[in-house]
Amino acid sequence: MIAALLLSLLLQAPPKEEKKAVYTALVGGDLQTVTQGVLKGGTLLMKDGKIFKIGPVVELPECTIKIDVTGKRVLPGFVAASARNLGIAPAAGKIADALDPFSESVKLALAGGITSAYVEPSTGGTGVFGGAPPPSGPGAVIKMTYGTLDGMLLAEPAGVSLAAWITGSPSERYEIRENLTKAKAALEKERDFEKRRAENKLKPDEKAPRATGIVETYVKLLKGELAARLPAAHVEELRRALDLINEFRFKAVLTDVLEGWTLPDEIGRARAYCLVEPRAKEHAPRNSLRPAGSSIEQAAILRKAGVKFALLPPNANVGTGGTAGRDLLTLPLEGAFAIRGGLDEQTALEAITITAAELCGVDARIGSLEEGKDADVVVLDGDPFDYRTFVELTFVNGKLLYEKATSPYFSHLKKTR
Amino acid sequence: MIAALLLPVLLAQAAPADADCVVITGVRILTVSHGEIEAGTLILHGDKIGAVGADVQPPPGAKVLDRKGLTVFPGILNPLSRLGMPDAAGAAGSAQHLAADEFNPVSEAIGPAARSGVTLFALQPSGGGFAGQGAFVKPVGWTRPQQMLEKAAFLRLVLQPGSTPKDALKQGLEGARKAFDADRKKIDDKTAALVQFLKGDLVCIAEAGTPAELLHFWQLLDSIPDCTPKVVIAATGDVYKAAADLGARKARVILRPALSLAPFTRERINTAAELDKAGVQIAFAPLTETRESLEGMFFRVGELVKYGLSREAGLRALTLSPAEMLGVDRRVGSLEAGKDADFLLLTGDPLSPLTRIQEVYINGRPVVPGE
Repeated sequence: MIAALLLSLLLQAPPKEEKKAVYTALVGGDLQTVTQGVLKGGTLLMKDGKIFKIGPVVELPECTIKIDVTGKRVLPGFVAASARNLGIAPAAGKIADALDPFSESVKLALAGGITSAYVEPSTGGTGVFGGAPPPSGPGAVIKMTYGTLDGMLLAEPAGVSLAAWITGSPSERYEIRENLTKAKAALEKERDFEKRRAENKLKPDEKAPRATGIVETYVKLLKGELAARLPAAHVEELRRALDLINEFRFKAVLTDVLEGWTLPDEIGRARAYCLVEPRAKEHAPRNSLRPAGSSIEQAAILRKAGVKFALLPPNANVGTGGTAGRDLLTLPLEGAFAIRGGLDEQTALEAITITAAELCGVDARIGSLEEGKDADVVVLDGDPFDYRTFVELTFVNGKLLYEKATSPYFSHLKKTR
Repeated sequence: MIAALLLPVLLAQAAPADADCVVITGVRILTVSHGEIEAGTLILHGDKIGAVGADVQPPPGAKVLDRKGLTVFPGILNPLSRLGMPDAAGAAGSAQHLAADEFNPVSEAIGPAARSGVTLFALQPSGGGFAGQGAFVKPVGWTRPQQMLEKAAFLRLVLQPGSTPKDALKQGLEGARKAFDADRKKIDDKTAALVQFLKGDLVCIAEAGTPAELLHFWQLLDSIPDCTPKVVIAATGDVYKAAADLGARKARVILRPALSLAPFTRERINTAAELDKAGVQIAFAPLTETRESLEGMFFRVGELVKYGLSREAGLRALTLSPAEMLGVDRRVGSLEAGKDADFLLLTGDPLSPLTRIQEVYINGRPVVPGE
């Protein structure tokens, strides 16, 4: 019914007068804003790809496409804090040059309510369970703008992998520390330059110092403009990562975290973010003298220690093959698993929206329903953490890009009560 | 009716009789450019078509061949050919390279190709990026002068994801744009070819492995000011995803004549029909160049017509459309007076699965003679 309604409305949407702003309003739904509570039966008005107004009653301008979503939940689009083979072609170099908005994975992600994802360049090859090859360059945040490159790239670079610090050889570790030291020096020089410029004490013809290559990337890291990603599942890897973070003080995202629940306070003190897979399972070694292995309570324990984290499925890709049900298509269900382990629902919701956006450095644009933010919005037919819930509509940059009623994959599935 | 309209024009162009004149009578003629003639006559004058029509009069003294019951159709054009070309996988391409230099004129593949109904091949140079310049070849004779129509007829570009190929492409085109007003003698052949492309003097076949590559390419082309490039896209079956963009840009697309499946489903998608409906000009290239694959072209197009492609667009996509795209339509692609006498005599309708190719004429001579 919504489908028929939408279709007729969208067909009426006038491309004739392009200058005239076209509004889209979602009316009557429960708005789960994430950052500003829940607004029952409110209206969300979108314009020019942004959220224009939110409120209990919003006066709708004349040229508004009105969509009745009474009884539905309206949420910000979900953010995948890490994704593989999503929306990019296997290629080396910048993500900007590998974007594939026609990828079927983008369509599937939209069906799962995902509107943005952090991706890293890869020249291909997938491990079955997390055995993907290391990224060949800095990561970026992309949007699921199916069919167009416009607005697809949200931030690049958004992160840099320091995997070699954890898994590399001593020489690779030495190199990372050396480059970070160089970056620290370069940053001091830069700050000194800025200070003297402010005081008008520059020498004639003095140019701004500028680092190049990986040192330039690390300078951005030390400035907090991007985050380092360190795969740290176990205690020894976590400690190794925390040592470097504490030494150089940078924004860090610990990925694949399994034993974080055994040292939550240390992670908290380093202000590191975690990527948690609530369903990941690993037994403690039989002869272990310390707490070890996975715990479904990990997210809840980290929360208590004030550690911020995003949630991910065991396979951070999108597919309909053998990993179905363990991939990004059902991202909110990871929240359900974390809740099962003691996490509160609000934090679980944050972990697939605003916190995921924050650790990617794009929380000013996405991750919550707020006026002025990007109109990346999903409409659900029920509670996000209920396994019976389906995504009905997905908007990216204000454009309706997924409609369950017309999806070849999901339209036949009926919600059970 | 169409025939009646055509008649005066065609008669006027009929050449005076001489020994070099051959007349084929009693045939159904699919002109491609001017409709179908149920029972007509085709007059050949040397290597050209002299006249086509329902009531054209054979000049006195001409050799008359009665081919009652057969259907005449223009020879097929393969716009993406590697006929007689070596397997040069991994070769580095460059815009000044010539496919003609890779071509083997005595290749054993040439004869069977002619028998399969393909009378013009657009040879693709090997390599990635701007690979080089292609040539037009007719499958006739054993020497380059006999076979080759044009040595540097079009440019071939392979679009690839990733920063290295994209940076190279950008650098090449921006360099060429800067050289627009430069003295030809002062720029190298590579840049000269790219300048010709940007000015629209050299058609470029841009091969895209995914429809996304087209978006990247358009973004780049749009960023280069004051250029009027002529682009023909060689695409894969999933290019239907970009049908709206292709239509808006009035694109010209070379496809393989095959149905696609929507990803993860068994839903059939007729890419050719979708593009045609979106206002995109389409041309077909065979899946491979084996004799089976070439002969199967009509059957495959028949399948696409069965599932929604217009018959006219389907037949055009084998002949006149690729000729127009690559700028050889003044010579080939349809049965019109003045064009090269390259055509097929079929035992029935080209899209009927029972139809055989009875005779093949190239340059007015039978290369596959009838009984």
